[in-house]
Amino acid sequence: MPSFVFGAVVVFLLANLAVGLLRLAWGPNAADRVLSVQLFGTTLVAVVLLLGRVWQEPWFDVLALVLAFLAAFPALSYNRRVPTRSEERHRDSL
Amino acid sequence: MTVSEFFTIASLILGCFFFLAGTVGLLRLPDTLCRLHALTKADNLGLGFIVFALILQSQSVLESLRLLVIWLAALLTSSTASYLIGRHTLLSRDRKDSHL
Amino acid sequence: MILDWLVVVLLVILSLTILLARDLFWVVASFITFGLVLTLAWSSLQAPDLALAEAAIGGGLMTLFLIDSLGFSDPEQTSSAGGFPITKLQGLTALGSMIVAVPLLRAFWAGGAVSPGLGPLVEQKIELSGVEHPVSAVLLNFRFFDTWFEMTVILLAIVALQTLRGRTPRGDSLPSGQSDQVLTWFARLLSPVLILFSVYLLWRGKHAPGGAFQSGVVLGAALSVLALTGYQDFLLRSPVVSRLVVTLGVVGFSGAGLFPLVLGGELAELPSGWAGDTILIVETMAALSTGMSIPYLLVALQVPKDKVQCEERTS
Repeated sequence: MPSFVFGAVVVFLLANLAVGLLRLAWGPNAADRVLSVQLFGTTLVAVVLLLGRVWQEPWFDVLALVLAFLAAFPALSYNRRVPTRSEERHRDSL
Repeated sequence: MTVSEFFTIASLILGCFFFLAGTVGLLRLPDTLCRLHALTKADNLGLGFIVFALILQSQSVLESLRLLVIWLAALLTSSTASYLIGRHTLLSRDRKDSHL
Repeated sequence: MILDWLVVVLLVILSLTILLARDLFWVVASFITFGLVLTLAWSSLQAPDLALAEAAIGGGLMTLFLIDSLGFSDPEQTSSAGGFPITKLQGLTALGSMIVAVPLLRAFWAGGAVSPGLGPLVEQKIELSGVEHPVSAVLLNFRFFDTWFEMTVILLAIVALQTLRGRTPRGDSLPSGQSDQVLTWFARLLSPVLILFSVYLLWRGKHAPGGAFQSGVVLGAALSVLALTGYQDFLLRSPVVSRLVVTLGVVGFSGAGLFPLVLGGELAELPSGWAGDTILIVETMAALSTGMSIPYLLVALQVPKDKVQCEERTS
């Protein structure tokens, strides 16, 4: 499989990411922005896996695994630290 | 072109298509929850197709298994993340500065 | 080539966003994304140890700290602060950076001989170091001092942050005691895997990209997942133990650094036959303390003093 094919996919995915930045900018909500970060995380796993084959480097797989495992952190942190309406009301009433 | 090469390229193209679909959904759908739905499903499916293409090209069973584990890990974290975002968004409706 | 340009373009766009955006959450999300794209940059520069560290920190830990810090600020500040996007200071800094960048760019494009760097020298001496991976050899033997003081700096930072103890962030979505089922399941599934992964990275550091720092941050991520999903008892029940673990890194390095003096050698002269084993022990201690520092900063520092020391007293 010529690495040109994998390379083309990588370029396509990165272009995809660049377009996804628009939602990062527009998303009126914090949730929309966290969603954009999710996009980056998942796409990057794909990109890293492909590049690992293009450049014949075994450690890219380990990197992809780290990225995959940590993809939930933005959402996890967002969930923990940004209050929802019911919690806001509860706090304000204290 | 051998059979496996054909399927690899087909799988890669499908993967790209789903990633594109996910991004289009992210940008064009009207609601946070809609975007969440589109992005999570499409992106993970796209990743799955790309991983499948790489498995077809892999040199050993161990490598294939490793790729599978990476995809499963991504699925696990993505689905939990989207659940958390979805739940939080639902509980946050009617906040005056949220656009839902 | 195209890849490098795409990465650079993404990085520049993200940097502009970080500097100019008005919504603080947008800034934070951009920063996280910046970290992720930077991982790609390190990968294409063939720097695996950096890429691994950046993935774990930029994608995982920075996220936790940044969003946490948002929780400490006023909600009015976090969305749509008004005013002209660039302050005078920012404008001056930007101008200064551009002025500095011009000669750098000219040097870059002038070409000329590229220095081989320290690579060949490290290759020559690597058997003396006790490990086979050049980055680990440099970090833990040849430049032992640097890593020693880095660990000390982290510890000092934690000590300094103790002064912020007791301030709870505004949006603590899941106070301890309550937990969502999915989160619990997620924590129980992911944390052991991440802990195992961090041990793997630690062991791998000997002969492949990995090592104490990457292992420590992945461990930190694992423990943070536990701490944020309702399992924070391991930190709160015994503050003495968690503080002890946080100091392990400095203790390990200091021990390995000072002990040779006792034997009549130089400061930080690792005994030649035992260098590999010493490095492994020191690395383990460093990884443990780095790993423990992160949930400590996230959770333990937020418990007010009176709740930690005197449970009987009602506040």
